[in-house]
Amino acid sequence: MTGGLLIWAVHFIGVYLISSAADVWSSSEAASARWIGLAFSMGCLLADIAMAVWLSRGRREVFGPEAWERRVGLTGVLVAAIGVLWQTAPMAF
Amino acid sequence: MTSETGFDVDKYDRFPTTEPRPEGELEQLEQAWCGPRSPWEWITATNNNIIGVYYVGAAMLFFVLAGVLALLMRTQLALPMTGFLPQDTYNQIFTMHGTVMMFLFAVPAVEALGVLLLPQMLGARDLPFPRLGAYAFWAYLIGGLAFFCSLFFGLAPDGGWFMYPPLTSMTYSPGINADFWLLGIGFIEISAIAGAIEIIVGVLKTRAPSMTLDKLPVFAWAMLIFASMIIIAFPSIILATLLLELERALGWPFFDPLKGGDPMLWQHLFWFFGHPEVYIIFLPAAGAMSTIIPAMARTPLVGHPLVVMAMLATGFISFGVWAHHMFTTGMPQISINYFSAASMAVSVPAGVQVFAWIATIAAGRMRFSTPGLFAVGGMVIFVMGGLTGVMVAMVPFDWQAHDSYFIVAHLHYVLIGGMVFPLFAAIYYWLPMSSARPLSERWGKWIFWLMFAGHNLAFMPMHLTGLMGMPRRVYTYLPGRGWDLPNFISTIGAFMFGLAVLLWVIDMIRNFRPFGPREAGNIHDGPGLEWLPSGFYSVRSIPVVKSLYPLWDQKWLAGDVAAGRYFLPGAARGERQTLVTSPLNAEPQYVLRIPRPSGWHLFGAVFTAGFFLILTIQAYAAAVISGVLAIYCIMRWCWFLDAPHARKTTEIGAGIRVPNYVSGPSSHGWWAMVIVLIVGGMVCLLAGFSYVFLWSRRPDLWEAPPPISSLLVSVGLLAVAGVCALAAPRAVRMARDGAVSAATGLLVLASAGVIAASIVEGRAWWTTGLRPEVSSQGASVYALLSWAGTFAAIGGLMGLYVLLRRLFGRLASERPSTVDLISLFLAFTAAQSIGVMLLVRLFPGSGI
Repeated sequence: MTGGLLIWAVHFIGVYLISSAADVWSSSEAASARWIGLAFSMGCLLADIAMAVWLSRGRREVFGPEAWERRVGLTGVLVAAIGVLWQTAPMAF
Repeated sequence: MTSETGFDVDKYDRFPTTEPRPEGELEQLEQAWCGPRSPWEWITATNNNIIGVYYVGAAMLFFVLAGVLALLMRTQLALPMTGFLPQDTYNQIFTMHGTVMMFLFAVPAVEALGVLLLPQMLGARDLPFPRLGAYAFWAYLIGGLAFFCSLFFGLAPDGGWFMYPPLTSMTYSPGINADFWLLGIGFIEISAIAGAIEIIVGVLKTRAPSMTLDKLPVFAWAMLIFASMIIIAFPSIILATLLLELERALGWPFFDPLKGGDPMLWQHLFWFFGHPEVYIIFLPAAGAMSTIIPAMARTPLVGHPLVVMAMLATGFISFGVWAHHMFTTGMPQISINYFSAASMAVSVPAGVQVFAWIATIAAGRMRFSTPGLFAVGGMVIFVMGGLTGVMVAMVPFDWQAHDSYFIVAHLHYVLIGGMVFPLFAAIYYWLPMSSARPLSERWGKWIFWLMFAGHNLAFMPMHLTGLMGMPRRVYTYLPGRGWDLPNFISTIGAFMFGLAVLLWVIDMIRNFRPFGPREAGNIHDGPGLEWLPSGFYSVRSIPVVKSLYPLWDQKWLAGDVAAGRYFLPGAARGERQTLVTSPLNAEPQYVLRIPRPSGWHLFGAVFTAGFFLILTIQAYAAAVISGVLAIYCIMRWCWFLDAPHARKTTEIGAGIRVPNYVSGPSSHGWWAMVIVLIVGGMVCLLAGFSYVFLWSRRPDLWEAPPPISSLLVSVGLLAVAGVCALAAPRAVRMARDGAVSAATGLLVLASAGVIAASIVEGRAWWTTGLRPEVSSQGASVYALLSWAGTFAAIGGLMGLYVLLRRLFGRLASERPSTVDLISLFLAFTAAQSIGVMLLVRLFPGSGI
């Protein structure tokens, strides 16, 4: 149910760590740091997509607690994907 | 639906039962849960109905006190160059206003609401650790009052509610004012964590049968997320206060740049707690709004799964925005951009909730009685605060508005709209349930409009004064800058707000008078279980929940519950009991015997508070005595836990029998221990972050660690201790003579192992000549080792405790919980110590 949100959390903590580590070793503005950040963000986005596929796969119940949990999980994945994309944007500028 | 525990869910169809209840059953239940009969019993009470009311009352007392401080500040600022308050006093007052509002009012108030409401909402008789709840309350009240009283002696802290070093270092804040803040707040946060443990385990393990996650009340969801956030965020402030106090008392330079420290470390640690704190306060209030609005609009909450997701998302993202308080500190640009983006993203889940409330109001027939007014008024104010929040999430704007009155306006709109108004809505909505009397509706409307108008009059002009350049925290200002009129209007607004609160206090005193009728009932037609007929035992019988709004959808529920036709309708053997259910599907697992009140938790709270407060005035011997007494009281309190049961099972209704005792992950104690360990682990993780952070500031100051041979000894000892700890639960379950002695021996060995490893590691570092007061490396290494050492010392006490229990015959193979929990703690201590030692030896790489 919280899988998508966990990916989001991993993403924002990851990009902070990558930029901080880059700042210690060279500069957080360095192109290499941006590429690593971008690759990491793409990985998180792919994980989000995989999570969405896994949550929607072969389950058709509309009512009941499991269907409800799946619905919460899927909307969480959607919000997480928006968050990951939004926080990836600064790398492009 | 798949069963989570193997319980046959078809058995729910046996309820409500039809056969008559045995004679005297209700009387026995009332007898078991009887209320206090003497002043001492009122003080030592543990029932959530009593502690919850105390807790809310104490939080509101601090709200009023901090409000009075606000009025003093507004009086000083009403006109330019007034001399109503001297500068030093003003500094103390604004620091205390922020600190008391945030630490002694906002978090405790919502926690109190949880303690008061959750058992009834979940259909439980009480929360699972009532004495822990009472301990948390008394620790908070005693600590809070002592902290507040420092103001009357001129000893109150004066460094702002966030206490930034270097302003709060010994150089610029000599005296004990800052120490009051550091030790007082650190201690009060421990009580908040105790309350959070109670709430998490309560929501996960004491729900009415069949209350699956989709039927869990939104308020309970909010409290679950709130308490989980406390577990993750509060360790950060505990660590920060510890580090700053160590620097002030012993000269360990965590924040002193001359010795490799960095004041930025404080800001990271403080805001890693401080920003989630805003959502910690907001989420329960939002949960209350999502409960009150559907009830007042007489329609289900629109987008219920989305609202739950939004609350979860808010909980997660709240940990990713702390540095937006630090945009002007010179962080790398790309980091600033990430935090700016994250801060804007918060508006997505917040917006989902606001739109759900608006849609619910539109879909139903909203009643604008006082709770409805406060809910809608709070929403309006919160949205305005949220909009200015998006403005300050944008870095260029933040650079202009930072540390100006614009920020004061923004944060008050968010906190008053997001927490104070919903809290008042909650008080007006739920008070008839708690005191069995509603507050005056006529007064309520006056109070609402005075508060709403007063708030906007007080804080709206602050946007302007801020944009016109008036900085925060100034005790006066010069005339002729255009700030005079807006400040005067703000003062008028503040006094209107104060008048509203005064009227509310009078109405509350009237409400709690000890005479007159008390029969309000479900006056709002609320749909939750909390509106079932109840007494000190909460509900007469614990219902099977089939809907998110059981009182709307299960027509005869109230009557059947009151007639004892559901689970656990009596008090078998005169015991206080509640039903423990599984965390996901709420399937009955076992009957929990709830302890009766005793004085030990109270004494424990008094001496724990004494330890911290006496430490503040540097009377170390007296503080140690108080600390030892606190440990003794807590061990006495635990001594009577895990006691034998007269029977192995209890019939909980309709012929269903469940055990009276379980151990391992099914038991509530196991969950509490795991949460405690998460708190400890978070402190350690953040201390590890501090170590790496300080190294990154001044790597040139880092010295080589001790030779690797001593590390091998320490890690070897810890590995053996960990194995012994993990083997103990298996040993105690062996069906043979000597199993209990074997488990005891293993635990004693494990505790000795972790202590020995701490000593070996400490000695190894000491012999290198590195001292904690010399450099940031010394300070952070010894801080980490001290943390691990503290766990080892507690592990040692646990080893002694288990040995004493064995000697007094209080351990048994069929009751392995004590062994399980101590084993968990010791295994964690060993693992944590290994992590700490590997970090300080092998990072940044000169250890081998």
